[in-house]
Amino acid sequence: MEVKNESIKPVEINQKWCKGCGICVSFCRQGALALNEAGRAALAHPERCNRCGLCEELCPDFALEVLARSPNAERPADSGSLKSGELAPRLADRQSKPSLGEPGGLPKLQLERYLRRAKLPHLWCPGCGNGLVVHALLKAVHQLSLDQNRIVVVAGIGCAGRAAGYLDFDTLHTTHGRALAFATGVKLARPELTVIVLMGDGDAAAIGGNHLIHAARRNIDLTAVVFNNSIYGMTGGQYSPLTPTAGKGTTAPYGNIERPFDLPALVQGAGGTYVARATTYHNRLLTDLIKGGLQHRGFAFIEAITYCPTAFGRQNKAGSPADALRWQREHAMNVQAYRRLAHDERRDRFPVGLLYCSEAPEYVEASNKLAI
Amino acid sequence: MTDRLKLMQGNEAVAEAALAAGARFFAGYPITPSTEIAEIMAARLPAAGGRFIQMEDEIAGISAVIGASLAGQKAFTATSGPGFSLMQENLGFAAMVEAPCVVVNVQRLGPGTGIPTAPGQGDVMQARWGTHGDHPAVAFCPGSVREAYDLTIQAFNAAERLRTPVILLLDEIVAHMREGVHLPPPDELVIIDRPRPAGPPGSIGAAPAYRPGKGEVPAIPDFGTGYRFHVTGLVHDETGLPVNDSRVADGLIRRLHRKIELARREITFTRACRLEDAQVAVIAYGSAARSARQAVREARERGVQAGFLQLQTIWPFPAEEVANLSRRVPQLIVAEMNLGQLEAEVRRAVSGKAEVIPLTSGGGRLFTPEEILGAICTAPGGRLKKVVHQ
Repeated sequence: MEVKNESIKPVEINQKWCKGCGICVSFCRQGALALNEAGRAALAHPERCNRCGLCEELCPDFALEVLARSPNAERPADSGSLKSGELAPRLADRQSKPSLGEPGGLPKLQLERYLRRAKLPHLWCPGCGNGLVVHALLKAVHQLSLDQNRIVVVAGIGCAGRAAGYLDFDTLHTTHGRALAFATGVKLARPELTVIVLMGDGDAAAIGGNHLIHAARRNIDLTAVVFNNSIYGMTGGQYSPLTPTAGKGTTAPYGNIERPFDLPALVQGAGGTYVARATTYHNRLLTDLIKGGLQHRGFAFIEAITYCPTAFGRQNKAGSPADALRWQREHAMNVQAYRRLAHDERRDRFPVGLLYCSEAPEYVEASNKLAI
Repeated sequence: MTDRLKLMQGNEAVAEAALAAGARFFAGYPITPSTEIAEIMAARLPAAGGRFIQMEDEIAGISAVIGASLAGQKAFTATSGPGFSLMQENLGFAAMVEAPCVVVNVQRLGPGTGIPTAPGQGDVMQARWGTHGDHPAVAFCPGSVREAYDLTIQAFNAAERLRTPVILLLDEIVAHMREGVHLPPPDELVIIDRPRPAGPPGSIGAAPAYRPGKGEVPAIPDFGTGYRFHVTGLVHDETGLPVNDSRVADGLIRRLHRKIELARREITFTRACRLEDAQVAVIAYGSAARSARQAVREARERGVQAGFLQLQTIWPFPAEEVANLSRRVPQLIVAEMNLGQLEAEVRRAVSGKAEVIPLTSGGGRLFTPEEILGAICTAPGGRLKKVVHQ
């Protein structure tokens, strides 16, 4: 139902958290938003706002809240989620509510329930996609009504690893690459807890690659989210195992001569039973895939394609944060449509959605059976 | 009273003692000569309500142990030199986040792959300084099967009480040696559990997770109990959240050392014999202590005023005990299966008050009592001065 209340401001902007990345301004079709003199988002033309909620959904700083959202308002085609039916049917079957998620982010009071407010604004650069991944994670936790006291978030080292410090759960910021191994110990010690593992691409695929394949092989009931920004961001832009061939890094000044991993294929090959990918632009899809992962009994792996405007973007001339989201929109393709493409048509496309899902014995359950 | 006399191997004693101490989680990676510990835990833990997992490497082993510890379990791992090297980063992490855990290192001859089946004591300094940063260390070193049992209990107790990783340094001889041991009845064991919050989440008793409590040890909650706190290897304040303040860093590092120092007496274990009139004393630890004890016995039979100090705690180094000894005994022989790792610590403690005579070995075999006897008899204080009729 559309709610109309012209007396209230349509968008609340937390100036302390906004970093002025310009994503909201760039994506607002109505031209309601602009950057103010301080370089922060401001509602320049409140009368133009149609409360579509897209700015809130794409704000990586948790800084925007659209009040009295209008879910039917016109939005750019394809925004936030792929068109209906993009989830593989098996995921839809598994969920009681196979919805594409609520439009927009979480209403602020609900979002703040899950954040350590005193630690915000976060340390990520303006336009960094990590906040968008975190936002999707919190939406997933909220929509599933998970008990906040029974969630442990285990994170690795790097920009993505810092996510744990902002989240109001039990949180464990481990050593570089080892998050899955720590999480294995937590889960085995307290199987009733929901254990979520947050890693970067270098964290999960380079130094932690061994733990990744073994967690997948064991099919232990963890939900792993990899923030794939294709670079080592925190150390200043060295190439990672996910940097595209020919991509620039400070340690690949002539272009990367290595080939990147196909992480979902790696995890599937290692025995993972829930393998998914979304982009930060497809935030509702990302939310739904994380939800699916949290509900899955076994090792759930979600690759979140995200953008590092500072360490990757500058070296690779990949444009503004808003440009990067548009790139994600244009290059990500529903997995079913992608699979119908001829091989040479796939070249600059990549599939998103639930890429693989199967049933296999879960490790903790197998371990339970040993106790007589 | 049931007779608890058993024929037991050192590694087996460690595993049995770990169970008796309340350990219910083991994660590790097979490596000679520690493997029996993993095998016994794999067999025993499920029925004891615990969990065993063989991880993909030693790094994963200690990671899972720390994770389980933070979730409230008494947890441990066992390895040997090469695996101990791999664990070093997370050993420091455990010290920093104050996660109680025990790491058993059955020392073999190194460096490199060395001789996997031969004994060594070359990891003494790695146990102290192997992980980066200025951190405290607690390490115990048993010289017999019974000591392996007792010191395993003490290792868990110290780890829990001080919320710190504790290293149990066996050597291959002690680990694989079988001897008859009388195990203490379970009800005579003193088992210590870690400090936990005094009240439910949000109550006055629930202080910030990392606020120092009794003995400078914080009462950190277990994961999943509603306190919702943060654990990080970054420098952190009392809440556990990271800060970049150098004063906070200085305070934290000093407190981590201080909590060990405050408990020094309770975690310092030594065994002394025949020191009352000794002119020469042997200081030894691990399997070398067995040969030293026999050598001192034989020296006494020959009328030499020899004595013996076994260091069961090697870190923190029992400097006070060694300093006291140096005031009474003019010559101290330090016998160790390395080229003098603890000798330097002895010299530091003695501070010139006694002569320190190293007896070293590249490892690979047990010191014979004859070798140590030879060292005793060639030391100035070991020369026969008078015939003693006993």
